Amino acid sequence: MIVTSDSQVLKTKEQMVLREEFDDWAILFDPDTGRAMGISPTGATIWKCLASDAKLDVQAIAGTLREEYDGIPDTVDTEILEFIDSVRKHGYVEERS
Amino acid sequence: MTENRRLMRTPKSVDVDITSQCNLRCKYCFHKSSAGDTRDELPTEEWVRFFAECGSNAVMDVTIGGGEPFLRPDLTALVDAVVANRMRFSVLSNGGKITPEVARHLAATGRCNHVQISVDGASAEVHDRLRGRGAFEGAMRGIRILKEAGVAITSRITIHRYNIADLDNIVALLIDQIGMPSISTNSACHQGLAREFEEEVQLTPQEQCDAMEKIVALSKRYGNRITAQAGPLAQARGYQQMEDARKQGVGIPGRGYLTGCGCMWSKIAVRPDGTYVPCGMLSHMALGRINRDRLLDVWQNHAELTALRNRYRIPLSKFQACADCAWQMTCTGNCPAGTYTRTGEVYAPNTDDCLKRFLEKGGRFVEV
Ligand code: SF4
Ligand code: SF4
Repeated sequence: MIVTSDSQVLKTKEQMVLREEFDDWAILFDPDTGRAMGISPTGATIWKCLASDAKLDVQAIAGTLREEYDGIPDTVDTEILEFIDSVRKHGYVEERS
Repeated sequence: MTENRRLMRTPKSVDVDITSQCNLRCKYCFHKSSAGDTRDELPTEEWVRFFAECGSNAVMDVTIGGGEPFLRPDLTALVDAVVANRMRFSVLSNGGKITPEVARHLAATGRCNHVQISVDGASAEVHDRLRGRGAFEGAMRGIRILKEAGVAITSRITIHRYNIADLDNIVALLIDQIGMPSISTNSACHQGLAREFEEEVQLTPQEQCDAMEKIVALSKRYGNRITAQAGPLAQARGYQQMEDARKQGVGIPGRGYLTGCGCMWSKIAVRPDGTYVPCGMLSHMALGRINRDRLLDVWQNHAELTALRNRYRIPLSKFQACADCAWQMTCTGNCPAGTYTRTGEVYAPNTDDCLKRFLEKGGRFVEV
């Protein structure tokens, strides 16, 4: 899960499925609605961070990305926040206390 | 040259035929008397265990068929196992054995894509002709029960010589009166009981043209609410597309090879006895057994499944009938299942859907 700068704790919803279909392509599937969203491998890594029980912040997720991939840009924090914003808009994550 | 295809790590969907038992004996049933018509049926626990494996492999959808799935008293338990493992499901049925309790259970899961009820006539006289007495009444009762429970419903119309003239009424019944958002159509393929009753259930080229004209006209009226993967509507569209390309002197990308079926790139099927098969229509191709062989192993490594997927590398030019065919580079060689039941071979084009043969036998293009 992630702790955002305004101390919100977000975690993936229980029913969500991460489908790592190909090396360069994954899908987030919500079986409750039948809707799905395509994501990149880095998106899949961020998603796994959001699904984990550990309370991570953006910097910790950026660290995980740097460990797993080469050439992660300096702007990665913004990209992580954008990703989180988009899965939140899709209703794929929920607030936890 | 053909493209290189990539295989998904796991199947997206799984088709499970949970029983061979059926309350009807339709003359074009593809299941009865096929290799999938196994007497053995798996107990609840085996399916539950398998659905857990599907869920852990991120399978998204399970299609539950048979036989008649509503004959299994543990259908709700099987559906619960699908849902508990974060998947959605659809059920294929003739409608006659649906009860209000089970329908409400399906609705309450919130995960049912739809229940598909076969409807081949707008009256008992037409519908029951090849399905047997009482089938229409059962289908309509099933639809009513599902509707009352709030389950999404769709229908499949199998087009045959006795219902071509009734197609307007059937579509009006399903879409206008019952309010189904969309329905699909096909025609009998040379499988299961349809082989025994071939004379009666197969359309002649003239009937095929009549059916194509009718269903194309209806699809113009109802837009994409009438769909087809096979049968007269799919053929009318497919043949027209092939002819347009031929006239322009071009091929259609990805064609000219045995590309008629892409399903085994995204789904796998299981017979009632737990045997993995590439598709319910290719039920003779045993690939292993659930809960003994891992889904992932079969999916990624089974030699026969790999060979079947690689049909797309086999050029049509290799086959005598296709060698000088004007539509060769616009053709997919069609569904391999029909090829098998005709010839005992899957690595060849399916003559039942062959455009050249259709025209030679008196068929004609229908304006789509
Ligand atoms: S002969 Fe039939 S199957 Fe072969 S390429 Fe021509 S239309 Fe296709
Ligand atoms: S083998 Fe034929 S029926 Fe089976 S999935 Fe492929 S095209 Fe469809």
